Amino acid sequence: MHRRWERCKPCVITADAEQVHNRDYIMTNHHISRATRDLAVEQSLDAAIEIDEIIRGERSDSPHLTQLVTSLIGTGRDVGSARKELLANPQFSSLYHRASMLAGQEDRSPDENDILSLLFLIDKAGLSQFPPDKLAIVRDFCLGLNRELVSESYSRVPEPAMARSRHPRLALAYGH
Amino acid sequence: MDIKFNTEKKARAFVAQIDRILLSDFPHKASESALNLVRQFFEDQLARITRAGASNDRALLERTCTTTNQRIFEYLPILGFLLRSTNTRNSFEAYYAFVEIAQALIGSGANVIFSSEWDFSPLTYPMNVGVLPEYVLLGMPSSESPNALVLPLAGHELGHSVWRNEQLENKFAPLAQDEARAYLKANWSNFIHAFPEHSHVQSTDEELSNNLFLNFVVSNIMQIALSQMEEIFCDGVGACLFRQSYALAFHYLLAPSLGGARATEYPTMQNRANFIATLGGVDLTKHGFADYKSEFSDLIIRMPPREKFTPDGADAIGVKLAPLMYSEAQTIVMSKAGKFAAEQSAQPGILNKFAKGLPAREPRSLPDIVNAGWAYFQSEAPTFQENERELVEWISELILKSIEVLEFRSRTKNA
Repeated sequence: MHRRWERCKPCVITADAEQVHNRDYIMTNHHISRATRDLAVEQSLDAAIEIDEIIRGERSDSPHLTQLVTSLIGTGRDVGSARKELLANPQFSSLYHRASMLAGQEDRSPDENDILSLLFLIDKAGLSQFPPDKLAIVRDFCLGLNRELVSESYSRVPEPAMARSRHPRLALAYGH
Repeated sequence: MDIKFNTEKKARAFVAQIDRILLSDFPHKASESALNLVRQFFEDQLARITRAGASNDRALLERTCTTTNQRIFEYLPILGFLLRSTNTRNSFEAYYAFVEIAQALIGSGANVIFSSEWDFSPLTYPMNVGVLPEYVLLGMPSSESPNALVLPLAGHELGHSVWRNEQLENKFAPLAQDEARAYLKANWSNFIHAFPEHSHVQSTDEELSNNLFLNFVVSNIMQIALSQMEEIFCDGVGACLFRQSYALAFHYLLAPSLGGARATEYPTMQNRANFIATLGGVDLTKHGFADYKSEFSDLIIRMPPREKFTPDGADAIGVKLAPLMYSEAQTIVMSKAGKFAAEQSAQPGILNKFAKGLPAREPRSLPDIVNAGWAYFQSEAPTFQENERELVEWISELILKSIEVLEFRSRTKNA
């Protein structure tokens, strides 16, 4: 079993993160509704495509990443408390960590795995301030998010008054 | 051929299919406008494939192709639904009445698409369909399409649109989360029995916040509980709008069971029946049911503890919060569409007309008409001579004609 299922280690706020300590984030509701999750399927993919285009020097911004961050994280309140509250939210935390699990990411340092802090930083400073390797981390996170949301959308069926069993089995999820 | 070529090919074929369906005659504009929105959605998918194809990142292209494949998979049945909405098998007589109710509940921009489906259970497509946020898709079983007595079941499907429109998932998520955490703590020994590899973990608040597996379990219980709460709420909307005819139609179509195990996103049939009988605001003993709940049965499957733990938690939360869901449904329906909700005093006048073989003269609402129809059906069923025509066919004709009168009166009043 992957150790990340055992415990969420306290995330390391990088030195860069201190630059955004004054930025406020507002989360009116941490819950990410089904409608928002469905919209985020294309938002996450569009954000990944835009970030990839930035890495290739074809553009300098990603409006869809901004939309995605607003949808999933919210805007406007103290970063530290926003971060703590988000990771204490079981739905967000579960989705965030599953989305972070892309092939090869296990080898990254704790700082590199702290994508949430990176997203806060990007939201504050803009994508153009970050080197390609950092942008690639965010792009891969967006792709991981897309993978999780598409998977959920795939298992969704019409909503009759009565339905056959269709829920994914917890015991088999991710081989555990 | 490579995945980019193949995926583009499939997406273009999907768009071409939409173009063929758009050549149909549409009895209502909503189906046509929905098709155009879906078409644009897939044109956007094609543009994404082109952009992702310009990247050197293989994962990006794979995710883009997978997303398009999944959307084709997801939306193809919706194309079928939109095509079938043009079929004359539909009870188009009831269309306008449902539009009025939907617009009262959801807003003046609500579009209704009515279809007879080759699926026995009435259904709606998930209203999370970002492409069609203002569309209410009501599918009724094609074999029952001539039977107006089952129309109240569309009330449940309308409920799904209300749930989304009122953002009730967001409203109740914190409560569901608290309940899921409380369930986990209260049933800790069962959790350890189900997941012994986590026996070293303590059920402290800190662990519940920080342990990712516990987060995953809480998130799963909460998600399934929210689905159950939505279904209970939808039954509440149906019961509040239609009163006894919702319970009678529900019983007609689904009792005693459809034979298999229920989806865990739904409460058990016995629980749903119990909620309808006890929270639905109607004394069902007056409508022929001494014990409505016992009319339904559930197939209980023994599951291993690790598969059982999550749905058991969701079931417990669903039962606990059912009164709140019915209360919420009642509040919303009565505040927004109270003038359409069934009124007991309106029924005798319509029933008198039906007894004379005439449609209602001045019906107030669709639920009143269907309630009178059920009253007529229940009173006539023991003695009705079906040599010339069946009772269901006869009462359905009276109901549908009355609904046409209702539409005429409403249109002329609004004109």
